[in-house]
Amino acid sequence: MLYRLIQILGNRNAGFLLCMVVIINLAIGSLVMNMYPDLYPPFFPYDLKFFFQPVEKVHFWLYGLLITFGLFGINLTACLVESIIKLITSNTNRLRQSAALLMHIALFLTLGAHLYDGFYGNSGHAMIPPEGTHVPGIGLVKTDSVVNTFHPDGSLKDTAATLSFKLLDGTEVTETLTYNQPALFDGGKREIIIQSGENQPIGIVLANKQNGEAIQLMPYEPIAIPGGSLKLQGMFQTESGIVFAEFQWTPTGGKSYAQALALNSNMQRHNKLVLATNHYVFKEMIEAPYLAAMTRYNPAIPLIMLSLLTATIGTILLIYLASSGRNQKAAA
Amino acid sequence: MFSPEAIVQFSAIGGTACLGLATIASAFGKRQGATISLLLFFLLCILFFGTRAYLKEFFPFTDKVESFMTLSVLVALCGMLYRDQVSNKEFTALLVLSFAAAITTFVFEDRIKFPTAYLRTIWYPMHVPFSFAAYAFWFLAAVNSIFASRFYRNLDPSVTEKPLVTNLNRNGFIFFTLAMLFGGIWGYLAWGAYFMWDPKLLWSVILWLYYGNLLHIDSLPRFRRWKAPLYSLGFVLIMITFVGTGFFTRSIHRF
Repeated sequence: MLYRLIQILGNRNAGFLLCMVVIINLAIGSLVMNMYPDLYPPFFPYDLKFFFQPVEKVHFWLYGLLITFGLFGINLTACLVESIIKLITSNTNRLRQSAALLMHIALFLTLGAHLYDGFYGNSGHAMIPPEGTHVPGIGLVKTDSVVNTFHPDGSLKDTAATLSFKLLDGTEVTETLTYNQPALFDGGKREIIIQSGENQPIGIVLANKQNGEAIQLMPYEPIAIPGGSLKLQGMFQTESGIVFAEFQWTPTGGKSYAQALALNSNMQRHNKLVLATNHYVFKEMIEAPYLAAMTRYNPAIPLIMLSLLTATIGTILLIYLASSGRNQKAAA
Repeated sequence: MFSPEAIVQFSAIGGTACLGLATIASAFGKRQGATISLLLFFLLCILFFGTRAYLKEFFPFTDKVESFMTLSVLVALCGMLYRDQVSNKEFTALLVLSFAAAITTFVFEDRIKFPTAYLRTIWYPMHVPFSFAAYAFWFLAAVNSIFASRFYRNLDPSVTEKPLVTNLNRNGFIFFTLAMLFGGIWGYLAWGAYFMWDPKLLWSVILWLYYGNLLHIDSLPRFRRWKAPLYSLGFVLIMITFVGTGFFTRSIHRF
């Protein structure tokens, strides 16, 4: 009785038709998504929750897809059960049956994993400064260094960002991330992925032209120097691309006034600050590494790994069967 | 003596010309002439891809010129592999497709650029040629089916069974599965997702499901009569996946 039910549910003809309906649904979905760029932007959110918050008419294709995929999934499950029973009971063509079965199991696991990830996974963005930021599910993350390498034409070749992590269990680890090499945690379920990284200017170093003494200036942190107090107000770039640092100079016992310094030694008239009797020139920029990252949580990774394994074994078996079939043909 | 750019241009023009000659030779039934021209085409393509790899300091499958040329090479190679199992007309038709892909490269402005950081991974050069190899097998399956459809009205069982088409599909399916696996791993490492709601990815899933489904058709007597038309339709689906999503959608895979 149960086997008969499995046979009915796993009807091959129905499976073939359902798969075709799923394909048509996917094709319609791709057209609808292309027609509504505001609703479905590039790098579209991965999770299925989007389609239900709120439910909208324009998402009809997705609801249809879930229904047809659901029916297809039932058919696939019944087929799988039937195939497993057949594989156990039959004595012929077992390798071929196993290859097909593994490919179907891989498809089944992928569908299940995507459904699970779609509703329970999440993705977000994080700006990771040197002082650190808290990433949910991982812990405190700090950017220690960012090194960008470039091609001869100036385009970005790669970014290597070293991050230090203080995980939720108190463990401290250091990881170097590059494009295509994320930091993985929790068996790969949690990821931190590079989006872009750079060293941003956070202050400047000035040198006293007379004695070479260097002073470090951070924004809004006044420093006492001979003759008064100097405060870095910020930096700005002119339309011609020259970067200026803006200061507030307060002479001892006098009133504050603004000073600007071109951070370019070729700017003859603006490349030094005259403060009391001292001349100061720009020495170097103080930079700090920042990383724009994507955070990802996919609870279905173990399922996907299993699917990957079964698909790989299935494919290897298919390759073996294809080559052995060719050899037999050649021998005949 | 010759700049690398000049070598690229020479090999592209020379290779395409050789492919054109092979197509013409095949159309006139000159088997040996077609073979020699095709071998020259392959040799010039080695020069083409090798020089581009040198200029890019990476595998040369990262722009539309290289994509179309790769497809052209793999389609011609697939034709060579199955030459003894298909008619000369089918082989010529496949060469016409290969030539069309090669000639398309001249439509685009060929600016050899370094690949972006995302493309610099071993998964990318494994993903792209494998999927194009699958297209090549499926193109041949489509050509074979289109030619079979002409005689289809006679309901000759040898036509509806068509074991060659199933074999081609199985080979294409193996390559496409591998391409999907490599692409999925790359996607997970680069974007944190093996699948995104992107037209190219959707159509890749469509292709995988479609051809995977067609693998079952031999064991479904009720649908077997649809075998040749469905494999012929596959050609359209591949064109949508490769050209349609690459040029006419907002895909992140857009050329």
